[in-house]
Amino acid sequence: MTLTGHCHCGAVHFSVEGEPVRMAQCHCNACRRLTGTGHIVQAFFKKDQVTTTGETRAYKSVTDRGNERVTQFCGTCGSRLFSENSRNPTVIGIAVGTFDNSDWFKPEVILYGAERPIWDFIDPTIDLHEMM
Amino acid sequence: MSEKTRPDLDLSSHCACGAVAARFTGRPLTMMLCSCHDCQKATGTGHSTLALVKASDLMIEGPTRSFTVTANSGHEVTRHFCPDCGTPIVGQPAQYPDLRLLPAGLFGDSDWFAPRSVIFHRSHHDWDVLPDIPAFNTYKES
Repeated sequence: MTLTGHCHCGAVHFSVEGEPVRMAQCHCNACRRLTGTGHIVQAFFKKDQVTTTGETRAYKSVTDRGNERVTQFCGTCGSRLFSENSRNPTVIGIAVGTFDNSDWFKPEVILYGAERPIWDFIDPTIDLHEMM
Repeated sequence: MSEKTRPDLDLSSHCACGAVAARFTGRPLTMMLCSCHDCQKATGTGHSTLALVKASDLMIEGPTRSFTVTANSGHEVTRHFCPDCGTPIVGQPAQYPDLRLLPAGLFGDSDWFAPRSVIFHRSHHDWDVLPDIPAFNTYKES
């Protein structure tokens, strides 16, 4: 399948060929803060599946495991877009809210349940991890 | 809303990189989830989690960048974010210049957050889990 999406203002577009290698929901404090919500939802793809146009800004931070995480957002509208982790350098995560159509999405795993806000509800049938 | 559901808060937080600080002192006027397309794009998730507050109860320190768009309401909404890390800081609805929309996820301690409704449920996705609260196609009034 070919999937497309863009940020809120349209400065950044992306398209993806094929299926995601992983679909996840993360409630860690970093994801909570960077979205302003209770979690991020991401679909992960091999980088060679993904084509992007337009400029993003990048914020680098260190994960609990000591890896480098780079989160990318649109510098014009602030939309949360992509994330990369030095632990898996061939893979890129795309924030699901930015896809034009996301009917295919369903998280396979919920991460950092220990940091989930009490008001953020989850699907109890999905594999839940307290941390990673 | 009763005083119980409008908690008296004194919250301090900052964006992910620390360049922007926010302090809120007061009671939210209401709290909501919004599944509109704009909130989905901006957050990268299925819905935003917002407290409507008085601008005078909120103090923001540090440089922010902003993006203004005409919302489904027909009025402009401006979203302010940290230019260095992209953390959403505050939303500003043009038709209510004295009010602000504060993202609950900005705060480490957010047990006080108790959304009363889902707005713009018409664009909600099946994969996005919502609490059992009243949901409206667009605004609550409609």
